[in-house]
Amino acid sequence: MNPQERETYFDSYLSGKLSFEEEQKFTEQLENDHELAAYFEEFRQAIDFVSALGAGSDMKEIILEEKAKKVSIRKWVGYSVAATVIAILTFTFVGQQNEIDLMDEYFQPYRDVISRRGTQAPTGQAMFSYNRSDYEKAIEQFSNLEQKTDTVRLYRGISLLAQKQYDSALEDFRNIGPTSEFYLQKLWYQGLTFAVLTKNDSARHYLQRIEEREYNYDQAHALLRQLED
Amino acid sequence: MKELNYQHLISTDRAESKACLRALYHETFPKAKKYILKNSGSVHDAEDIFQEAIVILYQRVKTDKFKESDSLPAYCLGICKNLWLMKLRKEKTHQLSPQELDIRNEPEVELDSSLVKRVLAELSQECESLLIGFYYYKKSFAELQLQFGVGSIQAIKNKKGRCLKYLMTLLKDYGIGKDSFVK
Repeated sequence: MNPQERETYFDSYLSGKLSFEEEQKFTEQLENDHELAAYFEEFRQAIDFVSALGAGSDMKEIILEEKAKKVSIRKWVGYSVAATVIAILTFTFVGQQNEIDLMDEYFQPYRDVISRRGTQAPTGQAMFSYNRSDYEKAIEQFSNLEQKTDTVRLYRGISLLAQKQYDSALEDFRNIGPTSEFYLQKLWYQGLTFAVLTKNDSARHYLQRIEEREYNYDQAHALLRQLED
Repeated sequence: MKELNYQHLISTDRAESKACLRALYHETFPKAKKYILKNSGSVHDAEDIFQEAIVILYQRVKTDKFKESDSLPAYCLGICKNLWLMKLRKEKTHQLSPQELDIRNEPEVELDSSLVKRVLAELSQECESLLIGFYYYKKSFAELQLQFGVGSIQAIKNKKGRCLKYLMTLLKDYGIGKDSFVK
C-alpha cells in the first residue's frame, strides 16, 4: 500500500465507507501494527484539527450573516418612514429592537457592595433577592423600606431597569445627587436607560460625564460610539 | 434549546452542526461581546475571539475533553474569557487579575491559540481551504478540482495529500496533539 492508498483507506475508514469486513480487518491491523496505529493517530488528529478550523470558518460565516440581518433591518426601517402608520409600527419595532440589543449588550447589575458592610443591614432581604436576580421581589422589598437612601435608590433603580420599568428606574436614578457615593454608577445606569428609550441626547448627557478611569468608562465610551452610528 | 447539544456540534450532518453553531452564537456571543467590551475590547475583537473559541471548543468536544454534564454555551463563554485574558496579558496593557476579569468559576482551560495561528501562518491559505473543503464541507474531488482550477482529479488528490502531510508535520513540530488545547 503506497502512502496515497493508505491515506484513501484512512479517509474511507473515518467516513464510515468501509464494509464491515474491511473495517474489522483494519481494526485488527491497528492493534497489531503499532507503527501504523501511531501514524493513523497523527492522521486523525490532523483531520480533527481541520474540522475544528472548519467549524471556526462556519462561525465566521454565521457572524457575517447575522450582522447583515441587522443591517438589512436598519435599512428596511429607513425606507419605511414614508407612511405614517408604517412609521408608527416601524418605530415601535425599532424601539423594541433597540431595547433588546442594548439591554443584551450593556446591562449588567451592579455588584453588591452593601451586604459585606453589615450583617443586619435593613437592605439585607432586598439585597438577597437582588443577588439572586429576583428583581421583582427585590423591588417590592426595597420599596417597603422606610428610609429611601441612595443605596436603596440605586439597587431598586437597577432592579426596575432589569424589569424594563424604565420610567420608575429613571425616577430613582434622578434622585441620586452628585454628592452621593453612587453618583458615578447612577450616571451609567441613567445614561443606559435613556439609550434604551432611544432618548439619545439625554443618554449622551449622562454618559459623557463619565471620565476616563471612572466607573464603567469603557462601556460608556462604547455605548456613546454606538449612539453616534 | 435542543440544538445546543455537544454531539450536534461535531455531527457529520452539516445542517445539524450549523444549527448548533447558530444557536451557540445567539446564546453566547452577546455575553462574550459584553464581557470583551467591558474589558477594553471592541466588537471586532469579540468576533475574532468568538471564532477562535469555536475552534478550541470543537477540538475539545472532539477529543472527549468536554464532559457531558458541561453546558456548551457556558463552556464556550469560559473559553472566550480565557482567550481574552491571554490576549490582554500578552499585550501587557492591562494588569488585571483573573478575579478582576471574573473568570474564577470558568472551566480551567489554559489555551494557546497562538499555536493554531502559527500553524496556519505556515500552512498556505490554499491548503487550509482545500483541507477544510474536503474534510469539513465534504466536497468531492470533482468540486475541489473546479474550485482550485487544477487540471485533473489525480492532481487535486495529490495536492490534498501533500497539504495533509505538511499539516501533520507542522502539528508534530509544534507539538499539537490531543492535549494541546489543555495544558
